[in-house]
Amino acid sequence: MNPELGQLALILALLLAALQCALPIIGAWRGSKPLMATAPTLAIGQLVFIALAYGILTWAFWTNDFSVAYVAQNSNLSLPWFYKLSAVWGAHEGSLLLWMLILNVWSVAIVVFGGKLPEAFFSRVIGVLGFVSFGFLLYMITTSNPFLRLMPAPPNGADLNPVLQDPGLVFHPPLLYMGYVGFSVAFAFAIASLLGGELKSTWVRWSRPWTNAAWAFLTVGIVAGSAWAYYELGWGGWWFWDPVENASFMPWLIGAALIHAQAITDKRDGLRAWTLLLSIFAFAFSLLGTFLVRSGLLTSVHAFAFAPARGVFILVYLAVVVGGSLLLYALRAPKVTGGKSFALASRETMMLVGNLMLTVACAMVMLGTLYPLVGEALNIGRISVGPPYFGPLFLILMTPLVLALPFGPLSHWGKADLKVWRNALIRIVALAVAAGIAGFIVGARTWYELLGVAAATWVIAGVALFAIKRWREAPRGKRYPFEMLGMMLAHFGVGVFIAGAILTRSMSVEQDVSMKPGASVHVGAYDFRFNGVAETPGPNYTAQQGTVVITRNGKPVVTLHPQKRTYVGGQVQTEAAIQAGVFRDLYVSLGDPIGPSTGSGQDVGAWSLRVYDKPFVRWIWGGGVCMMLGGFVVILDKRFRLKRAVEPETVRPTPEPEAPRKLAEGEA
Amino acid sequence: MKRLLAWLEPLSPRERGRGEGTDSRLASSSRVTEPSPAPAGHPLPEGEGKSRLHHIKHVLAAALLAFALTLSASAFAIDPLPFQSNAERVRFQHLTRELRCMVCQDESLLASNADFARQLRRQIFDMMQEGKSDREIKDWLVARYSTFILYDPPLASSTIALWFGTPAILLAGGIVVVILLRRRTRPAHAIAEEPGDDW
Repeated sequence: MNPELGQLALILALLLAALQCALPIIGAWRGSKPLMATAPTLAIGQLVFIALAYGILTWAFWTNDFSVAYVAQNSNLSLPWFYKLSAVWGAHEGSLLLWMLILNVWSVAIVVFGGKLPEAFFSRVIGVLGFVSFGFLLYMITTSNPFLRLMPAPPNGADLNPVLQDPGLVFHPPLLYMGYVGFSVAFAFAIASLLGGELKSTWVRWSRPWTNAAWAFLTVGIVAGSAWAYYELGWGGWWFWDPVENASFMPWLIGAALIHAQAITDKRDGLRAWTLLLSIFAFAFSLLGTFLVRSGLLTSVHAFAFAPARGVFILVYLAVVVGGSLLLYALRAPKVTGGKSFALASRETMMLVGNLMLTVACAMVMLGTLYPLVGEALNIGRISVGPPYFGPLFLILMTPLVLALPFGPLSHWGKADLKVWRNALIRIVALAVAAGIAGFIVGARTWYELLGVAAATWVIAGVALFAIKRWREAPRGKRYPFEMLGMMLAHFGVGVFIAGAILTRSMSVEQDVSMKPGASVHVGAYDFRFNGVAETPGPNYTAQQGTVVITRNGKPVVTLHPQKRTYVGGQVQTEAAIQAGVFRDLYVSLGDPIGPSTGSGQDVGAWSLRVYDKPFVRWIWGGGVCMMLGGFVVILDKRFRLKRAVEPETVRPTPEPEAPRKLAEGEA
Repeated sequence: MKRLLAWLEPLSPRERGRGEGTDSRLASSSRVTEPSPAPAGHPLPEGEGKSRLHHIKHVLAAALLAFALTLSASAFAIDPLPFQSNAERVRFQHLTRELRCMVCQDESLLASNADFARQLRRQIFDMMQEGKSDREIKDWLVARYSTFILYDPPLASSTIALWFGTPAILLAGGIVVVILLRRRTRPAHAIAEEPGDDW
């Protein structure tokens, strides 16, 4: 298929996006039903053209059409077929196209599932999504066109960056984008209700499943990236407070706050202005995250200046979206928030504490991430901000949140039963102390480890106590609705994560060694014997493959084969070999040859290797996966089915200015 | 999870740094038990002005190379040094993790595979053998390469907002929450019990 057709499809999608932004919003403003009725058609039409463009680019990869510059840069004749498909989002232009595809899929999902929303509200939501889409398409077409031709076409491509030739990276970007883009739904709902002046809390209930889905996708996207860095980059680390990571972590933090704020607004009608603001910021940070990385700003201010068109466009777009939203918010947000009143000791207060800490943590991360860039731009000197800044501050900020966490669920809305709190506190403290003592007996010696074990127990015990309380008190069959089950899963995940993060950090043993074939090294409780390196062919690389036999007290545990691959393009990539386990990972990665490979002498066949004993590292991602599952389980709850939201209820005292869409066939 | 999203650029300075490292493994032959002499030419000339010039050159070169489609190795540093004890190794890892590789995009001295990092790691190792404390080593590095090498920038006029920003935001947010709670909360006895399942 012709890449120019893809170009054309993008331009048509841009036109449709402009219409999708303008017509439904004007329709809702003027009360024109024909104009509002264009919204579904325009959204579906835009998806068709974006999907077409995406399909054409994929086809170009599939057929090795190296006359397309983007394909020539990111593919190769010998690239395995599945990486050809994932190479579509392997670099800047294509990943923007993927972003667009996902945004349009979400828009059409709203068309499909949001059919029962009030028509004007629905039109505004689709219109706002059209605006977001328009900006991105314009950016793509003017500065980052994936269909640019390269003439004459090279006989072979340069190959996909080998770092990306990994199953983890096949899934990581789409998942992350599902999260980023998913926050656009809450954003669109918020802007739509600000535009409509319709500040009732019903829109919040409608947007809650979308927010949960977005946050769950973002969670698993971050987990996938973290796990990938662990085994692919060969550092054995799982989080580096790198600006690129921080870019995805900021919307995650705000998203976590938003999920809880939405719950308060939905259930208690309170905090509406705050929920609106968080909806705007969750998406703003998603945009910031996408663009910080895309603009090259993170690489350096100089790199930003090197390609000014992209950078300037991004800045303007961010300013328009965020500035416009905040202006609208300032003009329209409710001055006095209503909502049911609550006592100081209540679930609301606990959630407020959590919200405060999460948003301040996000601000802290943003400060640390942007400070060096701003410093460099203003010429006040170059500053490095890294793990010793982020780590301790994050720990401090999360401490109140972790302490409060068990008591949110254990409270009632409105007011907590202090007797319940006291009993729970006694049990939780007892369990946490017991866990600390158990840890000490098992061999934990540092304060860090002991407090980590206690904190993880604190959280998990809170979840367990809540589960027991519900089992005893709630009527059979209504004990654990999906919304609650999701909460419990996610909170449990927090506990598992704490245990993993802290224990891995303090218990890991890491050693760089140089070994001759036959040499052994003792790490942790294990002996690693190096049996030399042999050459092994791969589809588009040749690998130097090492053999490392691991034994414990003389008993064989596992044989690992770390690789060092040289790809066809000449790039070198290491593949760590990992024996994964629930309680520990054994990790070997191959460095460089030190001595000559043949001949005689002291160093013949010697290589440098990194060996790791990493206890509990899987718990980090296990916790993340629990959080993700929690997010998805919440969506299953029947409360969120739109049918209920349209039923008349106490939270909407004023009559709807426009008749709910499809009410006739839906409810009659 | 480094460079998770940075894969858009075919060649980032960080990758380039690593690429350089692969060519330079001779310098790091770790079987050398006697401390190797400090490298004659320092990777960065002393003094902030020159190092900045160097940095700009480096970034420009990297940006230009980005168009050359040559990807280089993204190997990380595996750099066996002859530590005398595990405690010493842990101390070294901890120290170099908090230092920046000056020629990389955003990589610690521990992880970086660039020549610069390899040589500096060895120098730090040597200083540890001489019995220097972490503080002395850091001071030496700062004198030589400016505070840019520290991942926790010391408090100075240019970093006041960095270090006090978070407490200030926390304080402001805390005040807002306290005001909100004072305005919105009622005494517990004034809040009616609600019938039904409290969820």
